[in-house]
Amino acid sequence: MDGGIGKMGRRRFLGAGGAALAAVGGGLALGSAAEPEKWDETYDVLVVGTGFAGLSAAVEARNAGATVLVIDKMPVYGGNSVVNGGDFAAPGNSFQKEAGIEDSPDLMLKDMLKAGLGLNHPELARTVAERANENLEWARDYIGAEFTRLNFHGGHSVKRSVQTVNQSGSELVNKLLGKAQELGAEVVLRTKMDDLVTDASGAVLGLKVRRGYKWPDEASGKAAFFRARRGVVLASGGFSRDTALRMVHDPRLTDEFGSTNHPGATGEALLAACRAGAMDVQMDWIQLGPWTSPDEPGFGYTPQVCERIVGYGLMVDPATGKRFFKETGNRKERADAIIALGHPAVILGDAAAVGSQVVPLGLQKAMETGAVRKFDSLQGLAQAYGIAVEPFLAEVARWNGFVEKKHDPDFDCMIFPDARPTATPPFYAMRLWPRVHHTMGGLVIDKEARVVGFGMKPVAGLYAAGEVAGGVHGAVRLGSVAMADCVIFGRIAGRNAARIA
Amino acid sequence: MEPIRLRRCLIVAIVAVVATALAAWGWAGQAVPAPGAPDGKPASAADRHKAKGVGCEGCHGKDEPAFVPSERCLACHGGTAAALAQKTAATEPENPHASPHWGGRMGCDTCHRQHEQAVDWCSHCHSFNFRVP
Ligand SMILES: Cc1cc2nc3c(=O)[nH]c(=O)nc-3n(C[C@H](O)[C@H](O)[C@H](O)COP(=O)(O)OP(=O)(O)OC[C@H]3O[C@@H](n4cnc5c(N)ncnc54)[C@H](O)[C@@H]3O)c2cc1C
Repeated sequence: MDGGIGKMGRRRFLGAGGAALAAVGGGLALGSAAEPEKWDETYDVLVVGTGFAGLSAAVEARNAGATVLVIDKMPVYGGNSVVNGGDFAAPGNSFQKEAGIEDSPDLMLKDMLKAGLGLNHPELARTVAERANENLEWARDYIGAEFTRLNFHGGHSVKRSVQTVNQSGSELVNKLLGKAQELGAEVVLRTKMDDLVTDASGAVLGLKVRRGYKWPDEASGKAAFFRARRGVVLASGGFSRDTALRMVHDPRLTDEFGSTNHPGATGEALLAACRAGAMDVQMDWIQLGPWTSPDEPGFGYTPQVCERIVGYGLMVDPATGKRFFKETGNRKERADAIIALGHPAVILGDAAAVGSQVVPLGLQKAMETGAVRKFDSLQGLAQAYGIAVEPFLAEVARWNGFVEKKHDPDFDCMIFPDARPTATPPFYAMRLWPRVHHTMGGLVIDKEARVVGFGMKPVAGLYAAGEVAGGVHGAVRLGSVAMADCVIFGRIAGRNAARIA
Repeated sequence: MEPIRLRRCLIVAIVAVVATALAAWGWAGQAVPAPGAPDGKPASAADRHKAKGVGCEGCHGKDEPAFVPSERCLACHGGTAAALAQKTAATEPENPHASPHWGGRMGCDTCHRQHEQAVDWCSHCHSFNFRVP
């Protein structure tokens, strides 16, 4: 965790940006590095981050004829993208057509704005909804990533998320990395961006980095200056693992909450951009994932089981044996409802639901860790989780009645057409306790992925895409929309950064 | 986890003499002093390399101390990343060298730190409880 930077308070942090604004045109932008006497490396485009956004930018920048260097501070590439679940939302995709599901960019936009409480910057959200499918096809046809399943995610009106063949973002990251390298982009790890380098007018010239950085040793590495002749793309991801920074924006998110993110998901690159005059937005909208298990670390396997059976099975409060919230609700609503219980919830599905919806290997792994457990009877399940048997059985019967009618008057859960009553053993169950998952806020960008500064104008030479940028998702990011967001804006950023000014 | 099987994997995966020290290391929960670390401090992986006749230059060449490219590790340990992964295919509960995330593109020293405590990188998200030499 990046203690030093993270400790900076919001007021000071905005103050720093304000000072940078005041300084624009008048000399040095506070907190950015000044131009060195000698640059250690020179490329047309520098990309910070090797996730979906950074690698998509690298591919496009190369294809636009720019020389490209991609840096990452970690010893492994891929950030959150390489550990992600591989679900890519795209309205009107080929899988939906095959399944006879009607969908449209307008419907996806409506879902995004509803979950986002209307705080989404509309032109950014619209760009994602309108271009998602063509970018899914780019990922499939041009990059070569394989997608094989159609999934549902809470908060969407229809099944519209297409999942990679290995249920992991690594399928797309590895193919993107291969393509970027094949096109001649260079990728170096263990190289940490510390600051942007700006000229007297505040325009971004390049990066001050540390080569040989040994995460998480802040004393490691040697300073170097990298020049970007045309542009810098910040694709450094979110800050879910940056406890100090997330507590600046949401003091409730103490160390007691774990995170699903890769360990380098900290905010120092974002803050460096702010110090150089970039504006931040909606930093306090930080999402917890409602489908993680306290019985395994990180993201684990449970989400891929839990999220597949919502709309097929029921979630109960073990203290009462009763349902308490809409299983298919959006992440924020569900996480808030579980936290309000004060203890983990339990979700269950029967052999039919789990058998038809969950990828067998994922189920097996989740059971090996002990996070998902199998029971011959509902009584046995209740006893194992300390749930009073009678009220629980009554609640299952009540739920089953709703499933028959495909209507849930209690919580308005979306019940899928092929859902059956929870009645066929064995029954599978898991405990749920939320973890910090996604930071919706970040740098202000426009539709061209240009970073907007405190002067309300683009910061020359600076682009951002993916989780480091804010505004696309507003208050709540819907599941599977990040992949679309990262690829779409990563490509736009890469293309624009490669333009000769 | 079945100890015999694990030990066999390790022996195949790592140079044989090192493995003997490792078996002890596994159940003791920490490194035992190896020849070359007479001060009684736990032997680092680098010490164990040294005891096998692989000194500083064996890994770092003539360069100043820096990260060692994985190709240099593979020259002794398996030949290629794919071949190394084959050798550890029976490790329970997962093959550490066949991660679905990075596969053979993961740098050896992500986990196999030579001058400090080794790291189980997977443990950020999984409880495989690998004992990393
Ligand atoms: C476990 C998990 C599962 C998910 N599943 C899904 C899903 O199925 N569908 C979906 O749409 N979304 C999903 N998400 C969200 C989505 O994966 C992320 O929002 C997305 O991967 C972010 O991509 P990115 O390119 O912006 O950043 P990342 O992929 O996080 O990459 C950023 C990179 O920048 C590097 N970096 C950061 N700071 C610096 C610095 N100072 N110097 C150098 N490098 C730096 C980091 O090390 C990292 O490698 C999931 C997220 C997680 C954590």
